[in-house]
Amino acid sequence: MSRPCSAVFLLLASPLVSQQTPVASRVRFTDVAAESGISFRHESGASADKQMFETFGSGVGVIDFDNDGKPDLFFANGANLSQGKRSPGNVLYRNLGNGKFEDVTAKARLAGGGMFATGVIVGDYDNDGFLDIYLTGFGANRLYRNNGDGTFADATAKAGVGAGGWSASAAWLDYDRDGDIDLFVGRYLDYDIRKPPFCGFNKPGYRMYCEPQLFDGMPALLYRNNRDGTFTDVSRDAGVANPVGKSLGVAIGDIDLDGWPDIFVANDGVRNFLYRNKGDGTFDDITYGAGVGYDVNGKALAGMGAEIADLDGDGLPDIFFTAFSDQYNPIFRNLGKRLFEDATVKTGLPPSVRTLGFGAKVFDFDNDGHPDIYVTNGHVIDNVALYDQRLSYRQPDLLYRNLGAGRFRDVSAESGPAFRIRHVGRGLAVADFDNDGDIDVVVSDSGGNPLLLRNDGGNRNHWIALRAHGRESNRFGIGAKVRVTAGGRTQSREVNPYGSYLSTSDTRLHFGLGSAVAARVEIEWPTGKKQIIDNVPAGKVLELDEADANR
Amino acid sequence: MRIAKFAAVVLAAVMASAQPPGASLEARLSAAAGHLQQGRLQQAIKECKGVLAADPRSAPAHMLLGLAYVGQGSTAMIADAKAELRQALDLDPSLLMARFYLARLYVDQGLNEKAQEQLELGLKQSPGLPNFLSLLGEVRRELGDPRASVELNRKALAADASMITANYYLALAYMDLKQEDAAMAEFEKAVRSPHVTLEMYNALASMYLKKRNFAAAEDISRKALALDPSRPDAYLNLARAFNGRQASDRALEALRAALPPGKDFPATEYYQGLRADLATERGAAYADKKLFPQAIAEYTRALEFAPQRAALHRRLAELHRRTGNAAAADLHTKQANTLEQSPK
Repeated sequence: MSRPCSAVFLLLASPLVSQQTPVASRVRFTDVAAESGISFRHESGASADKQMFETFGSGVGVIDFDNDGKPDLFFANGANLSQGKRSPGNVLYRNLGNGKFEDVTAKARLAGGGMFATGVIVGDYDNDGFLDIYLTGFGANRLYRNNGDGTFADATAKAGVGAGGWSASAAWLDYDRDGDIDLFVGRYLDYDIRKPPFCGFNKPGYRMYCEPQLFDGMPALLYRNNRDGTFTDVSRDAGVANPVGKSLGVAIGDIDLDGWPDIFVANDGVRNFLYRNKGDGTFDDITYGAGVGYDVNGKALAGMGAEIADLDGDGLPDIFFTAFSDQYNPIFRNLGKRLFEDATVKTGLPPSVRTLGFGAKVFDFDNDGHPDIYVTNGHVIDNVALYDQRLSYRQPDLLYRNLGAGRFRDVSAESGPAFRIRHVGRGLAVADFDNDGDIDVVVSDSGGNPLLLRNDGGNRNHWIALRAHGRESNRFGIGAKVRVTAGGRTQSREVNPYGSYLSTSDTRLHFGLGSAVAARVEIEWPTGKKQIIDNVPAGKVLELDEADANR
Repeated sequence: MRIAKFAAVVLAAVMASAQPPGASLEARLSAAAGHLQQGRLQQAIKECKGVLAADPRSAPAHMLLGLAYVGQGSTAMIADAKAELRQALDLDPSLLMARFYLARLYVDQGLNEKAQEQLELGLKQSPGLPNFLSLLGEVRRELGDPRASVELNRKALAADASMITANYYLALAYMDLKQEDAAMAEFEKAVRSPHVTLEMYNALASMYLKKRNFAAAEDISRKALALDPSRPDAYLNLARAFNGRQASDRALEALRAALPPGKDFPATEYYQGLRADLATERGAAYADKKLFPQAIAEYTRALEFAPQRAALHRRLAELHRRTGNAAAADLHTKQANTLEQSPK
């Protein structure tokens, strides 16, 4: 397929458009983590040795592990490795549906056995209808299979996905479109815990975390799912094992609309990678041709969290990622033909920011039909203010509202008390935790407590959500393309809960409809099957079953 | 870092190993190598990126791009340079030029074990290469074996007598071995070469300063600054040469040039020491001019960067005594005593 707006996907006319205009909403985000019963505290392991992994933070995963329609939460945890201590453990919270969460880690057997966990990547690798968890980490990774009864089993050894080294963000994707999800794992630095180099000034309190340029990168891993509970490492043959990668963010999307999922990797201090899926089991590194490797001045940014999403509504997936303080968080606009332009300033985003961005998520917080951008911030150097008084370790988050056609405005200051919180943001995921029709946010904090940011007011506009049930395609429809038309506009998204930083969002897709009260929904499954449903009323979660789709 | 002298070799290596899919890519690669040879780094970068857009697996293009980044001489580009050189080697392990410059970057970053690994691999691929032998010698010296450096650099010079980096590394090894006359002789050979580098001048200037030959130190420092007028370490040597001859106004002028307004240094131990050194020389210049409050301020600033330097406390004690502040003088004397008695 070459373009999304083919004859099959014509825009619908006026019946779905109400006469009201979308509410220019005042949405407020409020941290309700404590009152929701979320008491998780992250162990960063911060020490006088200034080991690099202490800055990394850990991710958060949205996982409806019991399929009750209420998104649950899983927090990965670090460890104080400098003191030889094991991790205090990951935590799984079950969403009770009344605004409360219950810690069910012990029953689920997900504490993690002391590992230093970083990323949380949720997906149903065995197509049994229950979401499993792949945990990346420093030293080794783990795969936990969901037994479907509220417990999980460590399937790492059998699956052969333990990796090694220092893994960061990862994603499930059906890169060969054979009906099961495969696994791409970004890795960060070739780092020896026994030899932490000294960086910064040699005087009390001034030792600081080193820059990543002091270390070599590590190749990413691509594991092909063998459909028998095992995986094969195909990284090298597939062409994604570039040894210079310093991957932090991983985002998946079909950037050239050829039906095959492509991979974007945001690297820290070296050029990014854009791997185009050739459809034959291999990828081309098209970064140089696409123009997404460097900033506008031809310099590599310190890329952190990454997203692929259609930000300007032209049907082409764009790329957004976060970067270091005094750099900027760029938007690379997809021009088609595998070309991108750095459109950051054109879109209204600032050409330089003091904050250091990590997790980022593109979602429609005010349900006006235009995807917005949330960025969580926090410096990596805990004593940065000693060196540069303009900078701080703890930082507030940012919210950019999409004004339409991909123009953005910083609305953080007017979006509630959440944006006055200064913290050390790292992982970020989104879901409608209270199922009230607007998207809430969860942010992990390095060395601190996470934020659960309740969205109040986003549901003044209309919305629909979709849950995909694959049959020939993978069970949760990862990679399925969905187009929702309402109010004369079409929004294009993929079922893809990955991106951001070390985190997984809800597998349900959520669309804001503005004032429209119904929508036309079109889905193209990874198998190529298509399905169109007209007049879907707003305000409901639509269950999409591939069994209902036609070739 | 000097690229031009290897440019002809690079060009030959590129043309020998380049197998791009089309003639135009071959031409662009050749153009990139030519730009590199002429020091037109931006054009070289542009051409390389153009080739890589069409053929992302072109090892020579990755290598040339890496070399162009190296040629920019900026610490900000080290990661990119290393990345391109490593990718070139991943695609084509026979690219010795990429391996050599990757090793050089590791040396610059103090990652001597990694440099050693690359150099030994290169010598396994092509035994006896003088530039690999020489750099390996320097790496061995950095790792604590100056005798190995002497042996390897002599071998390198036997293979290529014009390799002045071998003279330079030999000189550094002799200094480690406390053979100062031999070191001086090698430094002087090195600086007579048209391929002399600023580091060579700086090292020789430091030796002249140590021998209190301030005129020669000034001369050599000026030559260093002619190569790169932005280098604070060369200005520091110049200021030391002036202070050594009580030319304090000229010393202060050199120190102002070392750290012009708006210039910032990386937050590393090396630059921490350099900033302490610059403040120390300013202090010495002011003290020489009998501007004691300014001298005290500068020595105090130096202490902020290097709180473990007992000598600074001694100077401050002396200056406070001369300005009648006995309490401060006693405090600094005590601190100096404590530091001198504490184990390093």
